[in-house]
Amino acid sequence: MSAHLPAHPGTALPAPVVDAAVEWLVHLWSGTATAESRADWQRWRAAHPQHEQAWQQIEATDTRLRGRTAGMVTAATAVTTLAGPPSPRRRHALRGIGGLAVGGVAAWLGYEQLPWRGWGADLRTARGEQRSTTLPDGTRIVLNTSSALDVRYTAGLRRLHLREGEVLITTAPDDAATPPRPFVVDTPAGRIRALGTRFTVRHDGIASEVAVYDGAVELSPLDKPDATVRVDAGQSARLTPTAATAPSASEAEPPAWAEGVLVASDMRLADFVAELRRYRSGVISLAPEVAHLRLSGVFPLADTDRILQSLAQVLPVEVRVPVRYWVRIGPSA
Amino acid sequence: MSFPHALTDLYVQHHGWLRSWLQRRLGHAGDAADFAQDTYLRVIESRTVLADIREPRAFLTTVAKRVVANHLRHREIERAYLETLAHMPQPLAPSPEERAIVLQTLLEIDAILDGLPPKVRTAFLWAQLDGMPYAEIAERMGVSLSSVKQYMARAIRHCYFPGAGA
Repeated sequence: MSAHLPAHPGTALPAPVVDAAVEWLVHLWSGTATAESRADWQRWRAAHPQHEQAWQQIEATDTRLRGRTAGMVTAATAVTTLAGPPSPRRRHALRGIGGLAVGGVAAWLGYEQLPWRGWGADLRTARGEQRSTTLPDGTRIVLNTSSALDVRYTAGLRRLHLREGEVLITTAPDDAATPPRPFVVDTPAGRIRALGTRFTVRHDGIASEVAVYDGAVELSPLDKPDATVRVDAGQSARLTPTAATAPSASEAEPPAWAEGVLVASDMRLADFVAELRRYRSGVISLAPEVAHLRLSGVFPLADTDRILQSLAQVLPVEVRVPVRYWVRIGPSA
Repeated sequence: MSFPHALTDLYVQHHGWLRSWLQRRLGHAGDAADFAQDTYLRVIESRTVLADIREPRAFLTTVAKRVVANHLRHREIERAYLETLAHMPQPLAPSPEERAIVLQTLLEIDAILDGLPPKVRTAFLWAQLDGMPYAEIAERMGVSLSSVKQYMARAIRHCYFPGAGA
């Protein structure tokens, strides 16, 4: 397991040295160490650089261990919580992941689903926030950062209104009504009619970008509702109030943001930062001399601090945070 | 191939598959998505040499099983801690902030002790956290002094010299 504290780099200590160090620590903690035996221990430490190295390793680890616990955790609490045998429930669950189905694990794990039930919900996300939910008809919604979506289901129509932001929609067949009610997404640019499908809509204030992963949708501009354009799986198109562009080839898979990650594949840092700004409050300034650098990776959107920190590890840049809502990215010194 | 490139490939080619694999076993799409995500984070943190992986899906399921097992272990520790708190006299009960810190600390210690049997853990925790003399540990645990010394040697080797072999 990777759970151990990381060993120091380059510690290929010979086994006899490790054995001796362990033996000394066992003795020193025993409660029976004497002034004489401590002096022996100090002599052993000084006898060889590797002895000292072994001891440094113990002390560094010990500092970290004690620093963490720092009087917060008593041995009594730790023993009762950590030294019990694995519970039957856990063993059962582990068997489950090995192949058997486990009923109710989901509930037990406490997966939080937001209670956005009802036929007239207004869904909002703050910057950096993402939410997913299932609508009463089984349609799955993943709302990206800084988005506003109104749900308006009536007897004859399943209608979503995307006011701003981005949403991934996986529609379900309408079992509640006969004939099935049409499913539409309205944006300030027009209407998108789903034809049994999975698709994303992103509205940027001027136009709506629509990408389809399963099935098809039909775009209908606000001012010219009859000038419809059909977009099939693997295609995307742009809808403005006056026209929809011809569909062009696009990603076949739903976007990574719906999984809570930002995937960069040989992406310019300037584009990467522009994308990051959507998920983070405050200002991120980027020095022009590093804007052209390129990076690849999978980054967790839930923790933009961590993404920013990791930039300095993969690129020759320095990330400074002069005040909380101001991040400066520049060339590393 | 560089790590980020290999990682992007691993993600793009297998993420959907991993998620449905997890979903089949957990029976819940939301958890499956979370665990798939954690699996990739674990891969990122481990800095595994991805180019050396011949069976990416077998590799991902191995990591994913560990992620799920860790999660279940976390839940178990949390429950045990809450039970401990329930038996604590009211004036000693920690604040919600303290609880969160203690729980986090317990999880970190547990990760360090991973793989050690209960008796070895018990002896080590008494000695390390409370500085309890071995004679007292032996008495509390109802074992011999030499057993305590053996437990301590095993725990110390495990925690301070991981990878040095037993």
